[in-house]
Amino acid sequence: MKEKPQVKTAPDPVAGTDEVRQAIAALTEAESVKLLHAVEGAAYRLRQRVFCVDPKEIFNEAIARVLDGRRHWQPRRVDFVGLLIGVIKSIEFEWREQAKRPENPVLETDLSDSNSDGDPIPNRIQQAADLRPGAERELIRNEQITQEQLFEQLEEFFSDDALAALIFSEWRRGTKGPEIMKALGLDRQQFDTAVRRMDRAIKKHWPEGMPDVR
Amino acid sequence: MSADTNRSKMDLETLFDNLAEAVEHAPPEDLLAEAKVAGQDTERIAADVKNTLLDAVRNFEQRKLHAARHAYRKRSTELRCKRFALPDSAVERRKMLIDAAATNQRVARVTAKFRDLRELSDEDVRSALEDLMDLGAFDQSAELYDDGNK
Repeated sequence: MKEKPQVKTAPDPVAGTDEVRQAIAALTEAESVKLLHAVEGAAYRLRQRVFCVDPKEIFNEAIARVLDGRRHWQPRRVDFVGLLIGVIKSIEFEWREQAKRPENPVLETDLSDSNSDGDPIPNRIQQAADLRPGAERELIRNEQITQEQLFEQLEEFFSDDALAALIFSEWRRGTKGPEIMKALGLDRQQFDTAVRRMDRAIKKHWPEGMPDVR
Repeated sequence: MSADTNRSKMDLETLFDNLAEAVEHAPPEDLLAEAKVAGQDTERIAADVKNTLLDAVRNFEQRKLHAARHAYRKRSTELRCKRFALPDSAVERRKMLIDAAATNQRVARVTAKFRDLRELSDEDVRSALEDLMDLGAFDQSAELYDDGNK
């Protein structure tokens, strides 16, 4: 059988600064509102763990990632709004992960085993073995609610909105969005609209960010 | 759908993902309509978003420019440092130039305009060495001299 001649196609071009500028200039009012929703949502959720996150910071980082090549934008394949929303999601995920661990982890080998007087000091493993929390840490921990307590509070907020309450209680049971839509006879738009009502209720109750949980 | 147990099978991260998806999947026109119903000035929002994004592009370009300037200053400093590596005596500097012209093609090409390197003034020798260093044509020869191995 005769082999099909392989046609080499040029890779899709990656956009540079000029294309990004043009794409920004061409954003419609509706697309801009969507981007603002996405970035404000990410900043709001991040504030639960990261102090004082500004939506502008996230926009700055997103554009930097596109322009420095950490995220390639191929305009023929992805629309600009879709690209930015994807980058915003990645930033939110990464910053949340970073907030869970110290920024610059200290290696045990970097630590001195004696203080300036030459007295031995406990290494990181010995310190970790001492599980008694410091007074301040204990105080903060006592003030924090558990995830379950937070979810119970949320269910109370949604008690006036039957559909939102139902969706939330199904989420707690581990039911996924498509299954919920199918079971309740909702289309994607109805489902998402109800979820955004939940989102607004949360932001209204905790304008500075949701409380951290222990 | 199954009966509930006391403990949630959803964690906070999943809740956040679910909330984010409701915006991600939404047609922009739906969000625009919701914002208008909520009494938001959507024209101003659009202008602000565009300005913020364009500022971000400018910030990025300035960062790149700063990085380029930094690299240029670093390179200039390195070049100045290399000049200090020139031999102290005029005789050694002339020998350095003649030796390099004999062994280094790039140096030979640049110095070809001089009829006889031995007839150059000491100042011209120094100047030629510095120019060659600036051009990077002389790095290897300079290193050999610095090591004292020549």
